[in-house]
Amino acid sequence: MTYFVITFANTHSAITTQSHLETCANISIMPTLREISAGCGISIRFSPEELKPVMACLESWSLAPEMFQIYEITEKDGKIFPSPFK
Amino acid sequence: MTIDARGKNCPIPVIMANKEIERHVLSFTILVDNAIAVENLKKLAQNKGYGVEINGVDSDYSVDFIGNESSFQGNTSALSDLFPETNIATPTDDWVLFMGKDIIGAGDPVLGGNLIKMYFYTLSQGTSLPKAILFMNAGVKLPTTNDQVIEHLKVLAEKGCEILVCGACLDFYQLTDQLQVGTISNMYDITEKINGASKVVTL
Repeated sequence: MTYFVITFANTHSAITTQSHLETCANISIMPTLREISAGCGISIRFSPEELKPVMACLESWSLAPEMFQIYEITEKDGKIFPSPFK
Repeated sequence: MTIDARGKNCPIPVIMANKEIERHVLSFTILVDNAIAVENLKKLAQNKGYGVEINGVDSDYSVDFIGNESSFQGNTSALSDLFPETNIATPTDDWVLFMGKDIIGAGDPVLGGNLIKMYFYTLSQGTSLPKAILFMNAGVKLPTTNDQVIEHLKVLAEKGCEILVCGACLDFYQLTDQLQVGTISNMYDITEKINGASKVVTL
């Protein structure tokens, strides 16, 4: 299973970005994976099919690049493999 | 004694039957709606020293388990050895979750709304599941209008968590016709669940 998550440097960035993304893509909220170190415990999750609308939506969103990170997550045999995306 | 496991995906019927065997129930009938479940129940019965009688065709089977005192004396395999797929989270039977509001904690409602989504996300993937989840007052907004939480609740229901939603509360918030998961319940049933649990968690 593969999906994407966005992590954030702080909770405020997570919540405001969530509100923005909800207007243009199908996303859900999840706790930041233990395997990923991030400033904030809230992550946004979306499926590979939503990558295009999410990226388009993020481009129109004035969040500094250092405030968030996108990861591609692969789950195999109960293990989680995150890799930074872009 | 008859257990209705129709509509339950494997391995739930096997888990339900095994629960009766563990309680040393000598004779019981389990209703299932697919041939794979019948085969798995046959395998379970043979391993546990039960006789088995199968009636029915197509999508309506009744499987009779017939045991005797010697059924409980032999060495039998653990359920997870017989059926690796049963090694999944199942309700732990001794705790219930009470949701009296649609957020976690007090304070900012947006943050609290995100926390509740993350809580049900984590609960649905975890290994300790409540026997029942009880929704009252503004908590009834979760199984009716919160799309993400509804998805997680469906997973929990599939794993065997009972979801009871206060009918008076649904009526108060005019959400009765929007219930997406769980059953409409009342104070009697909800109080019984609370009293019968060794632990009640409220957020």
